[in-house]
Amino acid sequence: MHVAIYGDFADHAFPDVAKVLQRHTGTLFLQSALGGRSVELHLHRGELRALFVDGFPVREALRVQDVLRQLMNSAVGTYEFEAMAPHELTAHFALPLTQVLRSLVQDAHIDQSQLPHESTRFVTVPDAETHVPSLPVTLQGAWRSVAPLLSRGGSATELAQAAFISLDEARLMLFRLRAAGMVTPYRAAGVVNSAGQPTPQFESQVVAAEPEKAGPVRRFLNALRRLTGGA
Amino acid sequence: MGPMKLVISGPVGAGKTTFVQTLSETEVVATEAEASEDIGKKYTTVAFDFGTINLDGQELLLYGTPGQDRFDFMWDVLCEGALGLTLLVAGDKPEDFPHARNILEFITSRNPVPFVVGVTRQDLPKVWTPEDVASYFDLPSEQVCGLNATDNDSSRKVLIRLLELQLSEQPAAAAGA
Repeated sequence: MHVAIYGDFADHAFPDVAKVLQRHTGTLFLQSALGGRSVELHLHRGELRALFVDGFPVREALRVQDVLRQLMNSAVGTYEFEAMAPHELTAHFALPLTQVLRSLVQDAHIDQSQLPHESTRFVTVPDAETHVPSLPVTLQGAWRSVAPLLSRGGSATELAQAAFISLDEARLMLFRLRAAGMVTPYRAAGVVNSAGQPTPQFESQVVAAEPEKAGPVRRFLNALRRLTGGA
Repeated sequence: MGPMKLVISGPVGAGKTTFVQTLSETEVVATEAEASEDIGKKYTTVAFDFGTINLDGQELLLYGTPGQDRFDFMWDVLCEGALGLTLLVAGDKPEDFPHARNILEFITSRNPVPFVVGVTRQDLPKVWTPEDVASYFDLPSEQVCGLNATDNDSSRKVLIRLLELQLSEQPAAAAGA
């Protein structure tokens, strides 16, 4: 199976990389992620099975958490994922990576270029409250103050005004809440996100269907299908 | 009914101009200028690319937007009343994913347009798959397609997917209204 997942932590925050790897099995190689030291994470469908720093295994729970915290806070350099069969992985433990990273998300350092646009709106996910206990305490407090606004949908600009914080702080907060699985981008057309959850639509935002477009659109679609041989 | 409108957006170098040129039956009006910084190519779009498709008596207007952030004022204007949005991203340029995601989320949180994401360069050996790009973008995999922007069939299939999404949303919206 062709898998090519690679990049640089200058462009991709560690939580985003972990999210992409949720459905994969294999090894994530980080060439010089921790002050020049290499890191290997053996992953199986969202579980961290083994961790190596400069080739040495890291087994103690607190030490594992410390390495992950460092990756969230200051991972640098390139990364590349190699798909493997489960039996090819080393298995020292089975940690649910998403859950662990959620507890560390407050420490995540995110480059400005990766923060959401100030006008992009976010909305709380339906099961957000179930994740609150696993959030860092500081983020729990922030969540309680912004959740009412975000339940209706809000942007960083609106968040900054409501919470009396700077725009950059608001953008960073939204990024962290998203990384923790608490909010998702608001889609005005109303679609499901990758977790299969429909993003809420609000009466005032819904544009009434234009039935008169359906006929011409369907005709155009049928003509396109004929051109491509019905594929 | 008048012509329908499709907006194509995405980072610089994702293949937007090529996609419009491949689909368009008329000569594309491509408003380009020499790039003032190194973007990997000599010319870049500075207004928008315009092309047309006419099938079964129905016209579809294609608008390819510039990829740089300084043109974000244009995205809202072009997306108003659009049939849909196609966001293109080069699968071999993961450094562009954050910007592409930001573009998509900015536009779609403000405009109720159906959209698909087209991941180009799928012919290359080391390229992100559409499924993994979907994960990065927090989208269902059905909404992210592989695309060869130089190929007619491949480009039309992305358009087909978008129109299918457009039609599948209409009954739901009507039921909820």
